[in-house]
Amino acid sequence: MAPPRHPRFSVPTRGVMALSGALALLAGCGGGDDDDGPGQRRAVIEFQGKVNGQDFSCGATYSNVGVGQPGTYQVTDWRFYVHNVELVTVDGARQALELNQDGAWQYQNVALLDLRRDCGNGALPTNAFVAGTIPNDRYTGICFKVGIPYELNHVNDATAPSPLNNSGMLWNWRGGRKFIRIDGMGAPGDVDRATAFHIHLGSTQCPGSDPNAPPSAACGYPNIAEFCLDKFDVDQDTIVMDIGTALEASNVAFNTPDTASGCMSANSDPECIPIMPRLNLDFTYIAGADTTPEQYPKTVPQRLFSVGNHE
Amino acid sequence: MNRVLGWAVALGLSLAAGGCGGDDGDDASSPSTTTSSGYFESLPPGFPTPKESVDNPLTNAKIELGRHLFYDPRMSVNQTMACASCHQPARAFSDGRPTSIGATGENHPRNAMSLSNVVYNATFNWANPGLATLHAQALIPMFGEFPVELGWSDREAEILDRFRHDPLYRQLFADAYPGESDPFDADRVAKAIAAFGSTLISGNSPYDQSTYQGNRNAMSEAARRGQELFFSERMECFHCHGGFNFSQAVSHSNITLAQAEFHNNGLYNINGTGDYPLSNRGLWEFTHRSADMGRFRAPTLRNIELTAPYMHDGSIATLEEVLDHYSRGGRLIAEGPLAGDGAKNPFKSELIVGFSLTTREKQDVIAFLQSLTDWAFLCDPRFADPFGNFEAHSHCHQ
Repeated sequence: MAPPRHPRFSVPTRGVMALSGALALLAGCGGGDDDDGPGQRRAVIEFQGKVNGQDFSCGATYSNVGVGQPGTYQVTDWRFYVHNVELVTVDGARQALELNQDGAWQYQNVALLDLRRDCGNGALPTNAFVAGTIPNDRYTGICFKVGIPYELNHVNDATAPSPLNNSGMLWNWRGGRKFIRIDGMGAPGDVDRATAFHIHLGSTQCPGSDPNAPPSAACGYPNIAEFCLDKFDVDQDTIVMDIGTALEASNVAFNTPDTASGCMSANSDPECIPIMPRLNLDFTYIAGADTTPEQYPKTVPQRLFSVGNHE
Repeated sequence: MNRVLGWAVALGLSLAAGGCGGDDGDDASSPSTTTSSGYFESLPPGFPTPKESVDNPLTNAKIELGRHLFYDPRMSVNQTMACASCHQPARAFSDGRPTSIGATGENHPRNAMSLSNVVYNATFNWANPGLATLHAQALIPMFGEFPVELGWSDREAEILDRFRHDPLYRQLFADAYPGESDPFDADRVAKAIAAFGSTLISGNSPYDQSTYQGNRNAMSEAARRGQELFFSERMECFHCHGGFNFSQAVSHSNITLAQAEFHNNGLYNINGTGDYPLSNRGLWEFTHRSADMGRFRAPTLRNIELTAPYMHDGSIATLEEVLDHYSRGGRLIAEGPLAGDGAKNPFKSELIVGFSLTTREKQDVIAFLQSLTDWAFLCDPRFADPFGNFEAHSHCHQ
């Protein structure tokens, strides 16, 4: 069996990048398969946001989220990066989707999904699709990683190409980008109980003395997980990301004082204990200086992403 | 003119010499970056190339015209105010007042924004989602009537005649708009001022020297400690003030996705309903959506030390008090018509949740903010008043 064939990526100069982005956009508008090459086909994968099975709508409040009372949760931001998207053939071989270099949502093998649509921050563009080309074959599954590969995660935002310069996804230079950004509020509208509760996933323990310099070595906890879905028909199905599953064991109306609101991936944040394993990540909780790290293995099977249907 | 030429070579020269034009050598470490007009020849190290408006390409002559107009009191109807009156060079192009006062004495509801790095703004003004170019922005203080700022409305011809009949401006306009028989109109005035404004790029602070220029000692130890706090999930400052310009709402040549972001930071909560004062409701004034009440654009923090007082209405006097505000997670106004607890504003950004800092930590964060003060920018003669009325900061004379 042939090894997975990865697209060859170059790092073009900015001018060439802009040009190729423009060409990609033109090609995208024109339709047609002229540029796909022999034996190649286009593939467009749609992502949908859901909260406990209900469609995500920006600013909407959902009920029965997590284990606390009252269990209401309002979601106001929903963005995430994916990379290394591969389709899987019937015999289990993986084939990389070569992403369109559109100069906006996709760069090299990384794509930004932005499901916000009308989140009240002005007219923001949104994107629910990953689009690319792939050799003709019969595919029955899909795999992708959430996040940004290390080599691209810690580049200077000022000179990074889109979508790596999306300012709302910046953490800092050393820490890289937020891989997932879900902003939310537990018990919204209840003046006494309303609690900001977010999920911001990213790499942690990236070594270095300066937050505004690249890390000096690989991050201690890259926090990049791969997700594989069987019985996925790229022409028929969508991928559902249900954040209710990540929050199913959390009390979204409570946040440990003096820790980040919700879980921002910190190894010392108790709110991350029930969440990180549900993002398909092994989590190490370190309460303090003299405590033994606690291990919380990822939840198997993962349920964050599942196969859905076009609606 | 020579000072401007020394900073960035003219269009024709840059095309001919391909970035070898600079001869004074004071920016040797800058990368060579050019826009379509070839203008942004010498940017601070690590900075992205600004977007250049296709309908307003930069030239040295246009920038020089804009610099004169920016500092000229004849720009106001009664010749009392220049653009620089609210955007004073000694205050990093802000005015030191809580809210500004127009040429005819009318009070403006908003605090004058610093012009540091305006060319990188995604949108302009405090909360106007549709104002996307400096050229369009410049027309607002010129023609605004509610309140009157410079007072051009209905007085346009009279004001333009001042320039039309001045030999200095005849030459400046002719150089800026070559081949045009009558370039004396409001649009060309606004374009020239926008051109000058777009050159006000600040990127040589101790923070920049440390971050982009390899000079780690440029920042004090206190500033370094403050930097860690600023970028921590404990304080959460960087969510809105992140990235190279310390503002989420940036635009430049690499940005293809709009980054217009607006946030309610818990300054008010009148009667507990989330309302802001009538004169300052932010994005809500454009959308009338509840969720947009009190949402304003997070401005850059560059040169923030010099731009007090703070917030869209100048209602916080010092950086220390700004930290107190965010530390509490919003402002409590105990009594009076604005009474309410901003920390409980239902439309407040979910990322403003409060924190506690020790006295030393607070000083460290202030030291970090002070490390964003760029004296090379503030004292740069290319940005100075050609008429000598508006002084540079006293630090520049030392």
